[in-house]
Amino acid sequence: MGALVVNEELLSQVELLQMLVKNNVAGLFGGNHKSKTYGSSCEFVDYRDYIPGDDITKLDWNAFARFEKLYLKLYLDERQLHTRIYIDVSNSMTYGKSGKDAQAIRLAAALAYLSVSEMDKVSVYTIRGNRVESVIENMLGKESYFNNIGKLNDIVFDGDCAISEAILPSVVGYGDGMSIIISDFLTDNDFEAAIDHLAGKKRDILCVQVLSAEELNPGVRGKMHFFDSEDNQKFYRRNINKEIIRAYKEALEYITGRVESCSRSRGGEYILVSADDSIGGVFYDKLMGLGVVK
Amino acid sequence: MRFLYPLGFLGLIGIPVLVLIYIIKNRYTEKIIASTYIWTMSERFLKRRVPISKIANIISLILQILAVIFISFAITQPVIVTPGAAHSYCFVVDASGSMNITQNGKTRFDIAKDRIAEMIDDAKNGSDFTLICMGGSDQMYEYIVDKKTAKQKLSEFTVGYESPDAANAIRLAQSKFNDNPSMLTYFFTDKDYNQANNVTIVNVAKDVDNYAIKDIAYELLGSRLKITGTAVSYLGESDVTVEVYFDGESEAYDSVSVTADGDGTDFEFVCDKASFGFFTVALADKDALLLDNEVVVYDVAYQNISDVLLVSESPFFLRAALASVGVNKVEFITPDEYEGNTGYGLYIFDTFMPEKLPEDGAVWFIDPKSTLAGTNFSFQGEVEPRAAARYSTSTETTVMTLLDGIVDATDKVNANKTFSVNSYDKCRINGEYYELAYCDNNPILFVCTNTYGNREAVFAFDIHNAQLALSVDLSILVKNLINFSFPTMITDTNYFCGDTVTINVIASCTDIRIELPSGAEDGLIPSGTVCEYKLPEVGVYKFVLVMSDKSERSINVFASLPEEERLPFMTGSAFSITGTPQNELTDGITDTLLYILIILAVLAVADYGLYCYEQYQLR
Repeated sequence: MGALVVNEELLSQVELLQMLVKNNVAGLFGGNHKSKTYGSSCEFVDYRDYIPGDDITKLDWNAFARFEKLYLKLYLDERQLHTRIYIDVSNSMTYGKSGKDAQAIRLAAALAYLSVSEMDKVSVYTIRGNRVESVIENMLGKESYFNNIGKLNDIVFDGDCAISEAILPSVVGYGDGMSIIISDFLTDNDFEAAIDHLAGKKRDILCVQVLSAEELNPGVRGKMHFFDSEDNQKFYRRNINKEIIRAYKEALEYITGRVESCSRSRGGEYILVSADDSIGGVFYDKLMGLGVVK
Repeated sequence: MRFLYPLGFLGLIGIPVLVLIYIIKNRYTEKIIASTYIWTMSERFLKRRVPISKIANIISLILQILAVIFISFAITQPVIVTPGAAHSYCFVVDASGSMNITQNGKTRFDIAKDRIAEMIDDAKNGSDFTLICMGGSDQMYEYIVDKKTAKQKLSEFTVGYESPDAANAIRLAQSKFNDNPSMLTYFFTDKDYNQANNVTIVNVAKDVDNYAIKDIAYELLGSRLKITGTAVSYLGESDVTVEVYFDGESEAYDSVSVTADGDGTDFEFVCDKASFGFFTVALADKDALLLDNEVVVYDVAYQNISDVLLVSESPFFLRAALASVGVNKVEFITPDEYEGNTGYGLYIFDTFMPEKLPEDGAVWFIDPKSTLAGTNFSFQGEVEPRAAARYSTSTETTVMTLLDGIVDATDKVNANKTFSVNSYDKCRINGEYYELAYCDNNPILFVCTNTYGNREAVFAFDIHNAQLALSVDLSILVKNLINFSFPTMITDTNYFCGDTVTINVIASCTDIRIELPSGAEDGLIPSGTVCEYKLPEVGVYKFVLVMSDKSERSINVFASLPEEERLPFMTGSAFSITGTPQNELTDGITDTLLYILIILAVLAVADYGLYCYEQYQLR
């Protein structure tokens, strides 16, 4: 990456995004994360009959005086969620004129901001080889966000990436928020295992597949000898013509469909993002469309 | 099979070059991309590929190599030899004047050439062709194997206007037959030949209308001109209109209608013309041969007399005398206006001596009173006569001719014809001269030749103050001196095509340019007193005589089509070749070039199709 990705301009865009989101929605991933169970917050919800063993401090004595029957006051339970963002930092993310790596960081920064705005904790990890490395841990509140988000600029994209091998042994939490994987998913490695693992941990899942414009719509023609950026032993040599391009597009459709179906079948969400897409466009057209952002 | 240009196989060097280009051109562009994953995956989705696309590049190379091979082949010009299939041809074409007759818009000569060209086209390749053009000067191209060359040489033949002698053409054809008794000889003509051994006569003549005029003559009857001639119709009796034009006027001066027949019908015009430059007698009716429909007649005397420059303060007597003898082309100027003018046939200086002697014409000096370089005399002073002037008594031919009409033989002997002069210029004469009159034993009227070879006449007295001016002698003398000054350059202005014109060259003439009726130009370099020129075309010839001072004089003559060439049908004498014909054929040749070119075209189209397919695939 050349210039800093997380910069004043990006942050102002994210701020603007937050303002726009506030007008329409209650927040990221379901608003203020009110639990479906009743809890101990200050917000009254309903009454129910007293059952022996209930906390008697929550009895409504006024109601007892009036109806001579014990009613228990019910309050909404309120929990703090933990959003975990995983960024694929393999070499393949560095190719493309607009830069998949930069787009990945922009997305991570924007998603993190929306989370902290809802008073959620946010952690950002990189997947390097078969390991998950922490970049920002348990970021809470906007002050912390602005203090830490610049660390994303220090991420180095290099080597390869094995999503499942990295995530499976890592701490992913249990039922306390959303796991977001940002990658190009151009790998034979079994990323499905990682998604299964996260689903098993009752995490909400969002797969963000970032591809460059050249990958989405290749313009090369003629005799080409392609080398894989992550493995010199891998190459593709062909006279690229109309027929090859048609097959390429079918293959691309297959790959994106595979990631999407894998994610959705585990109750997760999936979006395909071009490295050229604007952050605003991604949120409005894709995330809101999917209902990920309400 | 044999190859006309085996070196064409050097073109095969192009094959390794082509392969090298193919190798260089087919290099793959290397590029690192994010992941080959999608590309590798795409192989699964690739449809069964069309076989041609797998080998499209190599097919293109194969096609191009084949193209190089066939191009080299084409350059070598391979031919297939077929033994004993071709003939040797000798075509003789008549280029006489009658071959100008048109039939269906084409001359007989062109029809003959077309027929020969067809025969050349139809002949088996490998045949050879000998072409002989029987004209005024025979042309021959022999043993041409290439048909295109043969036809090109044939097209160079042009029809003539003469009646050529067939003997020379027969001799040429005979020599070719002697070389190869199997040669097939064809003679294309418009005449019938009763005797034609070893020759196939191809008569191209058809029935056509042809009229002609001939035997044009004229006679001056005082102030009237009588023109006579004969109109002929060669295809039976026919009404024709004869017109006469004077000096190239576009409108006919007069016309008569006559009923012409094969023997000819005489006609006559009487015109109010005392003199003329030239007149044209023409048929108004168009026919198959226009060359014999018109005759142009130039006045011989007019052609022989050039322009006269008269430099005088009082030209009355001289102008009258010149006019009386028919010399009308006179320009008059005063001595003050004279600036060394040139371009005249005769210069008359009356009581005036120029600073320089004219180079390009005869000169008359009247009362010279001074000496001029280049002349044959020197002035020695003015003398009062003691006795009357007397005409010469010499019997020398030139003197007798010049004094003809003034003194008779008796006078010359007795010297009793005199005339008076008030004074005379005593002259000393250098070199040869002829004395026409003398006074006190001093020549006062004499002729000679000056330094430039031009004729010179001297009146050593003032004719205005002499008895001579008032007598008829002056006119006679002027007429005779005019004849002396302008030597006859031509004796006739009407000829037949093929005749020879004889021109008497005047002394100062350095070059003769000839403008032919067709517009072409020819030339003669005078090497003596006489030049001859054979007239090859029908029409008006202009002979331009270029003088030493670059001034020019022109003479016009007209050449008619020979009368025997006007006949639409004629019977020629024998056109036979002697000897025993044989039937030995030469090797025929089948040219494969066309087939090779077709194959090349197919290869080119196939290669282009492949290119288009590739471009479509790379869209």
